[in-house]
Amino acid sequence: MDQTYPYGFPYPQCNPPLTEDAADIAHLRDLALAVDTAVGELATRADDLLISPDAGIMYSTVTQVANSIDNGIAFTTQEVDNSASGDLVQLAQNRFVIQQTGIYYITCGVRITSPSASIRPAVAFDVNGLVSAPYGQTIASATIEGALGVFTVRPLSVGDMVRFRWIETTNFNVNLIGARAGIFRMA
Amino acid sequence: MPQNTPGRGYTYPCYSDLANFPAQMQEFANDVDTDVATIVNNMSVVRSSAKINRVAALSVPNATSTLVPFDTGTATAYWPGSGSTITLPITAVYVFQVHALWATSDTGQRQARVDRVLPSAFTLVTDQRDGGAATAVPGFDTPANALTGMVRATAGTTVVVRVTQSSGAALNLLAAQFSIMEVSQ
Repeated sequence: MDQTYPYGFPYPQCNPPLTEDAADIAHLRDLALAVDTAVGELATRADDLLISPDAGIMYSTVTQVANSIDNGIAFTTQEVDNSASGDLVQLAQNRFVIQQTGIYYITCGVRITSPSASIRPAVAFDVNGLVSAPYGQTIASATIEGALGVFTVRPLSVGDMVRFRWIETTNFNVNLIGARAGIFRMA
Repeated sequence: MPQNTPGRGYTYPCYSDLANFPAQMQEFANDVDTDVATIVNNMSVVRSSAKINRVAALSVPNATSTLVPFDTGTATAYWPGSGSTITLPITAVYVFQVHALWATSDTGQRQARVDRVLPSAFTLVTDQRDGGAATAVPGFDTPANALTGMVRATAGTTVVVRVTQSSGAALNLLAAQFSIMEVSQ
């Protein structure tokens, strides 16, 4: 038997005027099975990368009293986890766990009750225990709800854990009234 | 009886089938053709997106959550060409961004927010900034609102952008942009 290049689909070896492999219906079966496997792999890759790349969203509307310098952000509800394993969103641990190695877009936003004094909140990404430089701003005493949102694009590997930290350096009690985090695989 | 491959269901003959190699090859070739065409078609419809702008100044009353009607952008399945309502056309996961530019004022806060309206009201993402210096140039020394977020939505979900400011008087929202892209089905 010969094979095509590069996918290696089998076909009867034939060098005219000799036909080395006799015509056999099994040859078509072998070709069909080889094409079946190759197209199946391509369809899976297309689905993983283009049609349904891994994506997860979790959020919280529960008031968290953030008293202090540094807190992990907790989430209460999974909005979506379309990974094949269903384990991209691990709600109980307030984290995303990467199921496929790739480049990921990650975003996190928090909502804050109106602070009665100026605060300096920040959100940081925690990947496998390594905390990024915080993304933050000063929010003055306000009569309207405060908010802060961040995003990043990172290469991540299977098993990497992504959490989010709320950091407030004035040591002033504020309430997080909502938090929302999302992740999807870009490549 | 012909059999089918276990993954994609391509037809191939068995020894017990009447030998008709050209016809059996044709059946197999057509199965592969149809299947590959379907995969290519699925790949070509992903990642729909829209970018919608407001370029006319919008007077925003003090301390009042105000809907932002958009006025420029290509009418698509997302937006009919006018109004504030953005409709998400298919069930999917989306990523969105908002940028809102304010007139100068050194008083109070500026907030932009994306709210889901249908199937039920829910605030998705909010951004809030200080007003900035009175002599500042909008967009440079005066912070503009910039936010990004994700949502998993069923077809027909609608979202809107709302802004609020607390300068003490009406203040112009000079411009706003909303962009959205479907990223995963």
